[in-house]
Amino acid sequence: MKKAFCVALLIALGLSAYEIFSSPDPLKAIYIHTGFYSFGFCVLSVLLAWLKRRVWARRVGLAGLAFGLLHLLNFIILDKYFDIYDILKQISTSPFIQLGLGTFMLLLGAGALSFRTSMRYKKTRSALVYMALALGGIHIFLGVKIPELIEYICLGFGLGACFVKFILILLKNKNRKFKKHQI
Amino acid sequence: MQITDEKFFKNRREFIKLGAMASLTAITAKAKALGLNSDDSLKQVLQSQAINNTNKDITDFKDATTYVNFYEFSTNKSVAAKQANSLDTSNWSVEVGGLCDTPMKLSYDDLLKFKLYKRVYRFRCVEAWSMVVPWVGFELKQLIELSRPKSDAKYIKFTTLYDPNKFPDQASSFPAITYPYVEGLRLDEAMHPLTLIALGMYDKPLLGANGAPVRLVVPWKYGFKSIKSIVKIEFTSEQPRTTWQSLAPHEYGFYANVNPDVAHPRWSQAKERVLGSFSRANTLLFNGYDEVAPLYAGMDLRIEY
Repeated sequence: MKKAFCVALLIALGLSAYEIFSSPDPLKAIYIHTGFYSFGFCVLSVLLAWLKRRVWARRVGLAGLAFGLLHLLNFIILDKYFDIYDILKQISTSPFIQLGLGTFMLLLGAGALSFRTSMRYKKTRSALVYMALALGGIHIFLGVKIPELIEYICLGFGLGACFVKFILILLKNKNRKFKKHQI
Repeated sequence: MQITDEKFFKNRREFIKLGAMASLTAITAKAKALGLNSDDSLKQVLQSQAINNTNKDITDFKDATTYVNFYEFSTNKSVAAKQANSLDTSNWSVEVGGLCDTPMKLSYDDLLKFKLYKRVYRFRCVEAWSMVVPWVGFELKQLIELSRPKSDAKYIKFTTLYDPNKFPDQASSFPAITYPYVEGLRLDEAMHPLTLIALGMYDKPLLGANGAPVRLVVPWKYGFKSIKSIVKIEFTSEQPRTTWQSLAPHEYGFYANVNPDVAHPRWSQAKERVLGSFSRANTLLFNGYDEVAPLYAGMDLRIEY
C-alpha cells in the first residue's frame, strides 16, 4: 500500500511535469499544479481522518505539505529569483500572498505536529489543517481573474469543512459542560 | 514603427474633405484613386517581413494562438482557443456610428481596403504574462478620419458580437462576465498611430481564438483593452462603462495602461512571465511604448489606472 502511494505520487509528479513543460506559461502551470495537488491532498487527508484512517491521513497530509512547499519554492526561486525585497513587499501588501503564506505556515505547523512524539497535539494539528483548508480555498479563489467551477468548489469545501469542524467542536464542548453539570 | 508616407498623408487630408458628402462606396473609390487604398492585398502584407524592434523574440505561433482569454467561449484558455477557432465569421460587418458625420457599415472586405501594415508589438496581459506578436491591420486613425467624429465626441466605444448561438458562454445561465463585451478608448488614444485594428497575425488572417475577424490592438494597455470580434464602434461624449470596469471597478480601470508601479489588488504587475519560457522580465511603463506618455501628461496614473 505504501509503495502504491509512492508510485501514485510519482505519477502525479510526472504528469504535472509533462503539463508544465508543454504549457506556454510554465511558471503559472507550476503554481496551478502544485497548488491544486497540495489542496487536493489536504482534502483527502481530512476525508481519511473522517474515515478513521489516521495513518493514511497523516501520510497524505504530509504529501499535501510537500506540494505546498514546491508551490512556495516556485514563488521564491522561479518567480521572484530570490528577490527578498520584492518577496517582502508582496507579503506586506498583497492579501492574496498573505493568505498563501498563511496556508503554508498552518500546514507546516500541522506537519510538525504529525510526528509520533507530538501525538498529544492531535486536536491542534486537526485545527491547523482545517484552517489551512479555509485559507487555501480563499487563496485559490483569489488567484484567478474569473473563478471557474473548480475554484468555487475549493472555496466551498475549504470554508465549509472549517465551519463544520468549528460547529462540531462547539457542540462537543457544550455536551462536555452539560455532562459535567449533570454529574 | 512604420511612418506614414508624406504622399499618403497629404492625400488623406484632401480625401477627408470629401468624406462627408460621399457615400461609403464613393469614399472607397476615391480612396483608391488617391492611393490611400493599399495596393497590397491582405495576403501580401501577411507574408511580408515586419521589423521587430521590441528587443524580444516573437512568441511561438502555437503559444500565441492557444493561450488566450476569450470568455465568450470558456474561462479555460485552451478550451476557449479550441472552440473559438470554429467561430463562423462569414458575413461579418462592423457598424460605425454614434457622434460622427459619416456613420457606416463596413464589411470585412471593406476593412481590407484600408492601408494595411504588419507591426510587431509587445502584448502584456493583466494576468502578468506577455508575448510578442506580429499583427496585420490598419491604424484606427484611418477609420476615425473617415467617419468624421463630431466635435463633442470624446470617446470611442467598441462592442463585441452578442450572439448566444455563436458564443456558448453568452447562452449560459451562469455567464463568466456580462455580455456583450464592451471596451473604450479616449479619442486621442484611439487616434494614436500605434492603435491598430487587426485583421491578421503572423502570416495568417486572425484565428477565432485571437478575435477573428477584426479586433483592436492597443499595445501600451493591458490585453483586455484589445477587444476581440468587434461588431460596433461608436463615438460618444461620455466615457463608456467598460465590461471589466463594471465587474470589478477597484481592480480594472478605464485606462488600464501597463504600469509596473500600480499593482493589481491581488498580484504584482512589476514583472511579467514571458510566454514559452520560464523567464521573467521587468514590466515597463506603457509596456515600453514611451511615445504615448504625452497622452497622460498631468494625470495621476495611480488614481486613473
